[in-house]
Amino acid sequence: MNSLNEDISKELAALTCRVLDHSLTNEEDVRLTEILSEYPELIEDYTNQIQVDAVLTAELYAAVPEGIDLEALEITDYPTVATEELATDPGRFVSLWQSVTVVSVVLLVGFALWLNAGWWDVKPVNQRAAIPEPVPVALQYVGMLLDTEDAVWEDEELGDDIAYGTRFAAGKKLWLKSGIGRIRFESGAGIVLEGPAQIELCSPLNAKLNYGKLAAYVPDEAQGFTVDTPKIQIVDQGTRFGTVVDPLGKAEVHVFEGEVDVKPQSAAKMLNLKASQAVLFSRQNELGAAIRLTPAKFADVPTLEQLTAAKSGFYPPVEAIPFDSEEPRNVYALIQMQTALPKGILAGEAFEYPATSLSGQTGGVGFSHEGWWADANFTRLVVPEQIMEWGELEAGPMVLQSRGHHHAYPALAHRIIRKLETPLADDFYFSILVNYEGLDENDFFALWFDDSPGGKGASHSRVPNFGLKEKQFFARFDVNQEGFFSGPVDGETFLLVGHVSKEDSSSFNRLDFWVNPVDDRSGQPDVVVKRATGAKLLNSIHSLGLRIGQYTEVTDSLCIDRLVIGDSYESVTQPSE
Amino acid sequence: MSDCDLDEEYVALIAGCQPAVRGLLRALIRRAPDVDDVLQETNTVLWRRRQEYDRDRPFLPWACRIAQLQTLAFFKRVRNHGQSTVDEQTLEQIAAVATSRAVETHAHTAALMHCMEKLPLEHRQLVESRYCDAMPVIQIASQAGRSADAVSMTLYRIRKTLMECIQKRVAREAQ
Repeated sequence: MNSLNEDISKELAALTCRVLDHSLTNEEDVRLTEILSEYPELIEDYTNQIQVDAVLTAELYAAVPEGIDLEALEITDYPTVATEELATDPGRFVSLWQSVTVVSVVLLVGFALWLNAGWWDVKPVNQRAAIPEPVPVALQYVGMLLDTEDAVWEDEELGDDIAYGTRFAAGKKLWLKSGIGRIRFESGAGIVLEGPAQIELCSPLNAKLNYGKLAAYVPDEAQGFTVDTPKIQIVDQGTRFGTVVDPLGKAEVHVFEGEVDVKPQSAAKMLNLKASQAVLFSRQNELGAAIRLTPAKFADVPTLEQLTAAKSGFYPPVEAIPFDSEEPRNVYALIQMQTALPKGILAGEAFEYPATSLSGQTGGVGFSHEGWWADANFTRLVVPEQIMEWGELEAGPMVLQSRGHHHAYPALAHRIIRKLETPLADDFYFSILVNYEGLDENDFFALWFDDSPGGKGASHSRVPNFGLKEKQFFARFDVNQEGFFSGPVDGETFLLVGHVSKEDSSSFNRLDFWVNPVDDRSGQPDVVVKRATGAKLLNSIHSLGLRIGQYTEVTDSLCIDRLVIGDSYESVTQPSE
Repeated sequence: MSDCDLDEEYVALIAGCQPAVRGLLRALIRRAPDVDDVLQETNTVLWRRRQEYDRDRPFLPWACRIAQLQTLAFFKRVRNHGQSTVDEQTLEQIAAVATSRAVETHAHTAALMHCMEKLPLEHRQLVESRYCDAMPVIQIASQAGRSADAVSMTLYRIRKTLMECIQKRVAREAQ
């Protein structure tokens, strides 16, 4: 860079600082315009500065008027505001938008601002001052991880995927970058943490939440369970409550049942909150302002059954609760092996094995030699009273039967997973026969396709999914891009056909879905779903699996059979010879 | 999805893009009150034109484009009152860079977090004072016994470091 440009760069830097310090004079503004017009190569430096400042700035956050009710302005309320009203009432519009902005900006700014070398050293408010310390000295562990959903941890010791049942010693600091994690404290209290969040497990009756979203279920034996945040202390009095804490210390407390005492740092006395009350503590309102109670913003706390099961110190439960064995009837499979699969397919599984468990079975066509992972407590190979069939498509004598979710087990109920022998890099079709008994509004199951089998906490929710939700069949890339079609009938067999394709793209970006198609309807899918930005970019499919929703009942029965993957519609809808 | 769901999703998209759009407007318009006005107009237009948005395409570039058009309209208004404004070509160039950076930083918030971690402690503390505590530069300077210009330039260098770090990580992730 020559000396002239260097001088100009320095001048531009000084003027950019003026812009960002809000101290730019009219003359400087004119000069800045001149420089940007004459030296376009400097535009990038200038613009980069402004953009980084925009992301870092807490100006929007600080601009929230005192006492404003953020809850009342949540985006779910927005569609009720008419466009005309927006246009004719600019004052209200500004407040609304500033406030809506806050909800999201807090997340963005939050990411940028939690960073403080002494972050963990934030002094809690009168920590443990209000209640006597229990007996943590004798307890080696203070908590245990029950389950997770899409959780990504940052932990030097345990990595980014912490196993269910991991026990944590007093003082353990956990950083949940994203997703959900459920933890049981030795006192019996259960919490669900939603990332990004950072928490320290101080004792069986105390956690320090520095940032994140937390909901707690505190049974009687854990009364007095306390959550410290940078600005307040929440002392449970036997209850269900939730709190949201941002890196700047702003905290919401929602009480769903029972009551809690809240002690703000700046106040001398405790605030007692009863069920259905919610309060926001912020820089503008350190003593708290009433807000609307919103239970829906919190994930489900651990179930009572989970907390009870984890008391033993082992989780998930070690006691197997397998289905009744049906070995004698399964011998039919020996003579029917793979006859339900058509020829010329890429992969297929007819679930015909001389066994009752799918776990470790290596049959089928086009799958990895590693065999199936199957939850033996909740799946079995059975010979149903009637062979599963739809139209001319007839499955073999055996099917895979899966039970619904048991409340003592992790919320993400994976049933079967298997890798493919050869990854699917090009467009493909699949079909599967399904039959669900015990159907109700909350039931959910999905067949997913992903580039890795994932851990037990991986929900595979941002990849192609086909299945049942809210009493309808659906296809989706992620929860924001779903297509629904007709409802299943309890106890009836359905044929689901799907097409996963790349439309002018190197990654899969289109799903076509048929339910009980008659004749060749390859050009007329019942549902078409296109990928948008929220879904994972998938160039190839390496694994598939089936999971069942956490609100299903353990008495529900999902039977599947004749899973076929092929490169054409015909290949997956033709009967076997 | 119902219209109501779509509207909610759309509002969430608008809310999510606010820092980036504000940054773009700041780069183009500079004066904070004018930025606020044009941001408000942009949001109104985004809402009115929600039916035109193609949900298969990323939202942020669409929002930035509308902000750019609103800026042009704003410049046309103020130019009539003798106020100086950037020319159209410069505006295009600034908007192109700002949109590109906005998409990067929006999609790579984790990269920003990582880059912040790499800053020396005193720089992190300075960023925190300026952005977390919203402390004016002059106040930071007074407390530190430094000149306001010196503090401003330190912040300038920190932002530059952060952007370079983000771009490196983004490039690495793209490989």
